[in-house]
Amino acid sequence: MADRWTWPEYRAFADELDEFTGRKRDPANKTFGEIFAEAAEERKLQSAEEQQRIEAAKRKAEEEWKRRVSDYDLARFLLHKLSRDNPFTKLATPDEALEWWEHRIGFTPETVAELAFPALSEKKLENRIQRFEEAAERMSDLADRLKERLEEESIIRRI
Amino acid sequence: MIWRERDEVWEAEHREHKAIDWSQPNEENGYYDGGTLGLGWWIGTRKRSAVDIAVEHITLPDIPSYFPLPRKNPLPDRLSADQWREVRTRVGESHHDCAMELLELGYRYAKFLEGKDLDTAKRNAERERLEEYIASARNLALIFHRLGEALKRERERRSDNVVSVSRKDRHG
Repeated sequence: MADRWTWPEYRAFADELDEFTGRKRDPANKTFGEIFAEAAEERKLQSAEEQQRIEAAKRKAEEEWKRRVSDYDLARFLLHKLSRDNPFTKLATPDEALEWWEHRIGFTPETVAELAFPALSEKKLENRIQRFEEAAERMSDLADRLKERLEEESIIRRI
Repeated sequence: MIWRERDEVWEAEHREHKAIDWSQPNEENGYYDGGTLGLGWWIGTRKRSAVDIAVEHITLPDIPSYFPLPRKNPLPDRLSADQWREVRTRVGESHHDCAMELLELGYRYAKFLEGKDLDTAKRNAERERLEEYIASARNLALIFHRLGEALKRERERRSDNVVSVSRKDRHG
């Protein structure tokens, strides 16, 4: 062994040691390029069926997550998204009921329907009518349920 | 203009910003030689016609979005009959756009409500604000119901062969 290491000597020795200890095989020493290349190869090795299965499972999980989140948000949506400031909500409020600083949109559902109607095709019209009817039913259903809960809460409070 | 989502507004502003050529100062990007922003506004305003200015003032944000205009010219000294007709046409177009926007907004909200679990919503509603939730839900139900009914009436009129002309065309 030399008395003082030169860099090439030192490097060669260190490499041999690394090979011996297995440090070279440590994934932490890999570059990102190597890691991604390996992952891509692995993905290639998966059969088409397996890939499909994995993707379907991913999609299902994502949908489920979205559904759960939006179910949770429904009530919040009512308050924040459809608050008094939203012009859509103002359709139900007559202009006289608004405070002086609040913007008057001047539209009623009837004017909206009358103005928008000529631009709607038959299919769109049917679609909208059906969806609005269902939504109205669901909303009044939700209002009833919330009313029930309000009554329950007031009973609990009295007790 | 009807209220829009914040992100939509920002996106539109960004698009507008990108469309402007900022490489050289010029009138397009708000630079007026020896002038100020106020002067810029004035130079722009001077170039506009009476119809442009009338339309702009009628569709200002502090005027109701739906502001039906009379058939008779209320400013005969300022606007000719033709000009007033053009103002009515253009404002009518704006009303039409707003109505379409509101209808689509309603359609989007109604779609959001589809297939949602109402019991979860009931459970998650904050106890202190239950009354607000109820009022909001009743409001929405009323709007959806009235929209549906009005559209149904229009459909019946269509099936009875009553020609319904859009406001836009009526003014023209």
